[in-house]
Amino acid sequence: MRNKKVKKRFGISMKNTLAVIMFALSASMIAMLVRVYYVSEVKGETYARRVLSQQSYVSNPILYRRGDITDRNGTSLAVNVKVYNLAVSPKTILNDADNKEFTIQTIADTFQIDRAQIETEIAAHPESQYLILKKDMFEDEIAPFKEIEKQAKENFRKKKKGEKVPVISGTWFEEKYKRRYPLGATACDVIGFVSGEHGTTGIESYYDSELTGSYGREYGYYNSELELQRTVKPAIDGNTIISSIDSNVQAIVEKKIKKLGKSMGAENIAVIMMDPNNGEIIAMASDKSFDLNNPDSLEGYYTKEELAAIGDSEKDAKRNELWKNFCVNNMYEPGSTFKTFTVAAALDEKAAATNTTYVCEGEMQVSDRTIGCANRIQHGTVTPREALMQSCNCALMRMAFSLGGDSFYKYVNQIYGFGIKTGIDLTGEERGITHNKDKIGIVELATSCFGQTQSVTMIQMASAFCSLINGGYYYEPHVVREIKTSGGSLVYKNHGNMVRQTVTTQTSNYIKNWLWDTVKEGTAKPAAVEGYDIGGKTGTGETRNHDSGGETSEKDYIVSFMGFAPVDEPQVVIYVLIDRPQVEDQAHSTYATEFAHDIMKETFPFLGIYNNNPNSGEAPDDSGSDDADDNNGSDGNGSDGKPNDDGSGDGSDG
Amino acid sequence: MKSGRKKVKQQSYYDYSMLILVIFIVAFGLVMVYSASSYTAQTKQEYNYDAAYFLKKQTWAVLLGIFAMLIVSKFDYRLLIRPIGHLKIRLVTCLYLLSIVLQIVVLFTGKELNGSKRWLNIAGMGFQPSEITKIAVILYTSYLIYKAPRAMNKGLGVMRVFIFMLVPIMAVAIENFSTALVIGVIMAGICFVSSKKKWFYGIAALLCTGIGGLFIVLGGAYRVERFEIWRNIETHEKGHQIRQGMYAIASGGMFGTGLGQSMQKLGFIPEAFNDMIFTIICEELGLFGAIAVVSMFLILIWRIFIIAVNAPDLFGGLICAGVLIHIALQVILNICVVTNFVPATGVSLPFISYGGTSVSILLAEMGLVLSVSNRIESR
Repeated sequence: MRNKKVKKRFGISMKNTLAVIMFALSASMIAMLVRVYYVSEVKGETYARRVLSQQSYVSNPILYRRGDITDRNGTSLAVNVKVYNLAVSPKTILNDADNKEFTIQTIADTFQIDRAQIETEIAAHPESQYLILKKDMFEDEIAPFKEIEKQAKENFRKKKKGEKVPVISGTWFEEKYKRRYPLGATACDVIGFVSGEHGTTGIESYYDSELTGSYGREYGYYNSELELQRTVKPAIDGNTIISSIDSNVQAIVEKKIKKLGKSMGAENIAVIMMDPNNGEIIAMASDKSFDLNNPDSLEGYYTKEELAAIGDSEKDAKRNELWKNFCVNNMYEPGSTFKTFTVAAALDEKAAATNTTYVCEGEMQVSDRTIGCANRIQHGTVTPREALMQSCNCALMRMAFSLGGDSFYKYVNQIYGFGIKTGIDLTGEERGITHNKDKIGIVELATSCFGQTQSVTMIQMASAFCSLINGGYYYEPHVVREIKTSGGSLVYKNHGNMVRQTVTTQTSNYIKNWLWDTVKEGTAKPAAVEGYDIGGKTGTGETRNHDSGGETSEKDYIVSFMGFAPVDEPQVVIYVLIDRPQVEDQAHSTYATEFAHDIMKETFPFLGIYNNNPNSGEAPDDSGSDDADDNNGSDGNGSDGKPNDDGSGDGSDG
Repeated sequence: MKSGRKKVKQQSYYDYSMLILVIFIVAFGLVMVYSASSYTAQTKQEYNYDAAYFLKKQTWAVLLGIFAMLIVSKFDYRLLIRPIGHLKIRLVTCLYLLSIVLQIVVLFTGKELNGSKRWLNIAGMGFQPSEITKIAVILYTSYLIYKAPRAMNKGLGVMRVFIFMLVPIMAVAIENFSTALVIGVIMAGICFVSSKKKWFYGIAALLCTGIGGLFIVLGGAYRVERFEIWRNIETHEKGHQIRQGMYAIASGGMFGTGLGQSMQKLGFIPEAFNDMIFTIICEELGLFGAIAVVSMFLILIWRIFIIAVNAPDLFGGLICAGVLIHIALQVILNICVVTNFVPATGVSLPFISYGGTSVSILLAEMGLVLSVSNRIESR
């Protein structure tokens, strides 16, 4: 470079010049602030007035419509109705002397509210900007008021100088959508309800993000020619959900539950009906139903006097109990219906063959205790088929022993999916409690093979059972079939999500036929409906009172029936459960079996399952139950006597 | 200069306070761009009804700019005036030539927006070459003076710099008079700092005002109209944008209507997020907000001034002087325009107005200043 020796510095005079420039520029900036002050303060008054005159400005949110919920046939389960609240600003009304009289009078006239009452309410909140005078009005109720308001505005615009024309001021309507459930309490557990803007239970909660749309906004202002300019960002409505529930079938099921609840009574009665070919829930109900349009009401459960007497926390507890979906949120020991799973596992693992025989002596010594068969009946020599048909505990235990603990718990915990969530699209699903194969002894194996000492949910039982009779395919249970946009285009369709193969098709066929035999000749006879080929298994399980330290009560039972129809191509699985029926001797699965019979008889026509022999009338003896072979062997607890903490000692049967 | 710095480098300085201040200003700018643009963006189909449309684009430009700023600040700014390899050409010369080429290219192939061809499309991104010209002129002017500082005391030497700079400035002026004016003033400012003959600039300024006046009078109806609008801002039909801007300032009062609460941005002020963004700041944050914004710029130019007077050499000092003038000038001009103190012309508020090229280049300029600060030796 040319000037290597001279170090070129930013010299002192340059620094001074730059300082001058900087101060000049800074001074200019500050001068500009003075200019801003001038515009905002000195001219402010004039300009601000002009701004107001040009802006009769609106910026309103536009409501979205929450998506509807329909059943599989398109019947509305949840819809929205637009309602309006009349809101006023007491402060504005009181300070606007010119219009106060006119505003209050118009409100009083059009909404039939007492004038004095309005005035007291407004006077009571003189500083308030927001007061609701009347709620939940429909569009035609507010139309006259809007008309008067518009007319007054028109007159005001046309008025001559100096003339006084009152307008309505300080009032507006809030519009909102109100969620209505046309069928009231029907399918309340599945549909769920909305509090505020979001769903709290059921489909409303699980699919909340689908059902919720997004707000739009409307902007408007008067331009310099005083024309109203409007721009609208439209709201996006929520998606429509098409549930797999059949509201007819659901209604019948609920009617039957109510009837049984009245005639017999029970702690819980619950029913699931599902399509074994894709996992769709057709009906799901329990006796703890509530009106979706009024979910807080407890009127059906308490009298007015009782309601006045009990405290809020008790009311809340009761509400939470009602809002629970028994089929998904509660667990219990299933009892003998579980035997089907053990037999299927043993067949599948070749631990038992169709012609293997087991000897039943009415009881069996396992480790340090004696576990009894149903009513200590000695079934003699039985095959697996007969073990199912007679619900023989001893044969089942022997089968489980030859299957072995490892295999058995692989089936229970992994293949059938007990102890894990089924993934049903409802909130708060319970996992159930099953034994961990590393920590259990032979007694637990012996009792859990016929459904005691482990807790499951109804949906786990029904879903796994579907796979036993449909050829071995486990479908994820679900209550939603399709999701569509408000415009009707398909967003999502559940064709049935096959999760895994549980048993082989051959095993499935054996189980199907044996369960058919169970209904034809075995313990489940009362379930038979004339003209239909029905298969099924009964169950009587001892239940434990979860509130009192988990002790299994010897007198409290859950009776149940799990069945399907028609046998050759199953289209529906039904699982009914009666928890602690209020009868002297609870241990009769007949209650459940007959109950299932009633439901099947009435719902099958709706499901397109047709009578093989339409001309045959009512079978004369279709309710002729045979209680004898259905008794429970709880007294077979033998020498042990006192129940274990985990309740493992109890054999039971149905 | 490359032989001059063989000494062991002492602990060097880095002006973190300025870095943080700059990042704070651009972040504030993003908030204001979102506030001012979301309405326009979400109501127009061309912006996909996406309220954050402008915010997203601006955020990318800011991130790119901050990245550039950090990279540039870590390099020695003197690399610009060292010959590249064995070639005789220097980076600063390349930049100078590039800016002229781009400016000519834009005249022929540029995208027309609002009646002026100011945009080049490079890889799908719009890009304003006049912003490059700003930085090129700052650097090349500084370089020319650095090469012959004493010549600045003679009329001829100053003329030489002017002539070199006239080329890019004229190229910009064809389509964008206000930017050319800004660039011209920056160039003159740098010369003024380095020259001892101050009276010369007085004459030059008078001359320019004269020529400028002629330019306006002879410049056709377009410029005369601008003057008409300026004088009758409250009645002239084309004064809509400025008038609405002043309404916005007036609505703000002392503390403003609150962030996001501007009404004037709702369709009254067209493109409120561009040059008019200061009025939205005034409306939403009030006079208080305006004082805060101007104070941030005052502190910023104070920091640049400190770096300039401590700069290790003439080149660095002049770069800082140029950047200082650039930022201060745009702030002043922008506020002048939106308060109708001068006739309307398109000058954006540095770091805050929407405009990707502008904010990226400004951040790169700050990188240069930081690079100069990095060469200050602590004593």
